[in-house]
Amino acid sequence: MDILVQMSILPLMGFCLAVSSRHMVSKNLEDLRVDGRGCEDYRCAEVETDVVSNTSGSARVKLGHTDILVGVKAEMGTPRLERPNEGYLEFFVDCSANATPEFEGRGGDDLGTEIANTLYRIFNNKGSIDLTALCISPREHCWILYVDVLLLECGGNLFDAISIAVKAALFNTSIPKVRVLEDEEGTKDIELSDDPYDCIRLNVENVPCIITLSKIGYRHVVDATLQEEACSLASLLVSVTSKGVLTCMRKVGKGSLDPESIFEMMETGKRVGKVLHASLQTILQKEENLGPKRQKVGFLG
Amino acid sequence: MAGLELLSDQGYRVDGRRAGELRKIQARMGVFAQADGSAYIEQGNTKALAVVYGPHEMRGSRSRALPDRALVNCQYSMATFSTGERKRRPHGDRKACEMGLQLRQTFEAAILTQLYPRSQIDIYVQVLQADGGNYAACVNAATLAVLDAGIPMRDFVCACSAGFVDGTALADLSHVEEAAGGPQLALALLPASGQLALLEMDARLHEDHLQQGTALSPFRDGSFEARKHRWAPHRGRSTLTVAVLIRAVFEICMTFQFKKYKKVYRDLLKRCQPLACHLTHYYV
Repeated sequence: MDILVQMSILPLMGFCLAVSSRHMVSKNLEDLRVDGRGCEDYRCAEVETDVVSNTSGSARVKLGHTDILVGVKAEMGTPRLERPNEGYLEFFVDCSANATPEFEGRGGDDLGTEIANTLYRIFNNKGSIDLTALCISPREHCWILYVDVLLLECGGNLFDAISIAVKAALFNTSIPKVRVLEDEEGTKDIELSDDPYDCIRLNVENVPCIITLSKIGYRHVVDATLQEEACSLASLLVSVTSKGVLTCMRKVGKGSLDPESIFEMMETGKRVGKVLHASLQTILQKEENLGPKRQKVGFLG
Repeated sequence: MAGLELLSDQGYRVDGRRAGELRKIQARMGVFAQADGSAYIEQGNTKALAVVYGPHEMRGSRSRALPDRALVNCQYSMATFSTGERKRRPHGDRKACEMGLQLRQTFEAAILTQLYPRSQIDIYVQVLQADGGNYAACVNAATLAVLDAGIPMRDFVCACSAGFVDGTALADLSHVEEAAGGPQLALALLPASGQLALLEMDARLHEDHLQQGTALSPFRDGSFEARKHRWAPHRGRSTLTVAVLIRAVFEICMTFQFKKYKKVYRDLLKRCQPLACHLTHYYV
């Protein structure tokens, strides 16, 4: 079985994030998938941050054949009326024709909206990200983070790959520090810091990742490829934080699920999610520690 | 743009280049596994991806199929985060439509479309980071992607942009230079035959600076090699925009042809020539 474990940790160029839990590789061969993975093994993922230099933060994630590029742009705006002390996030998913010709023109809009709405939902709780840090002056100015997802290639398990990329891009995001100056007449002036390195970073520790569990026969698998997605009737999408807390859950697909299996899948989701978060966090930290000396690979690698 | 000196007295531009100098070009073919052909190009900070699908059966309505050649379908889009200020839509705006149309015209001139009657070739380009010369970068990326897909072409297309500042022509404009609002020229060239696939000029430019006849004449006679030697060592300041432009385009295509893509190109020619002969026999 050791050979199988090694197979899922293929050494690849760039940064390698391999989630494979050794004890999960089952004792009998029936539990193995077509590509040699166990039911709870992810494909090898590549994560690189700071790929697009004119964004506040960006990341590219390659999970098997799925290729995602996320750019975060911080723009100044006014806070929402119901939350005067907070900034907010805006999500947009562009399913480009690069991924498949069916997305040409407006063809990818439906899928894009669906993914964007899911992202809104998993970030719709106080714990996931500290939005008060984005407020500049209450009721008047705040930072709006435009999180733009670009789908470049579609190889199954879009939701998971996108959530990993969003987390990595938010980790990479740096927002310039601003000061609000008030003169005698009470008019406020916003001053941007001159030093480009004087910026705030976001705490992404509690940003959840999505784990999609696809039901195939009587079993469920994580990180389904396109072929496996075609075989699966229904799947459960759970968003899990690094502590294993479930923040959102959704059933997708045309089939139906047994309530009992849903509980089983939730448990798997939490277990896999914790491992995923841990390895993602270490990889991101490692890359961050390399500093500006790091050789950027991008699409040339 | 007031106060910004685009060309210093010493002849250097804002980013430290000389007037006729190009930005660093890096490219890679075969970025994606699922597409038939794909390529990525970086020209300085301008980054573009191109993907080619086809030739395949007509998608959508079959009435669009052409009985004698393949339909070239292009889509130009820019990532919402590619520009300095965030874009609201990646494609579908006027600019993108125009670019798509131009791209289509450029590649209809280059691809041997008559080899694939009643079929369709999709070329999708995506600008990931925009820093001037977007169209040129897209054409160059698309050429490499078409090569990667193994679709026969008359010649590979190379494109570059040029501008004109204080009596000097500048090659390969960056965003700052584009935004300054001087005259601009974009050119796509089929280098082996010296034919132009696209020529576009914005704003006013005196005819003398264009000097079409003299600038283009080296392409009308002599072999590719001879022309290469005639153009390559000449690197001074020039007032002939087209001359600078053509030299720039030529430099780009030399990067493609004489470094990494030489072999690919040769292979492709070898592969597609017998095919072309065969098909001509068949249809005539």
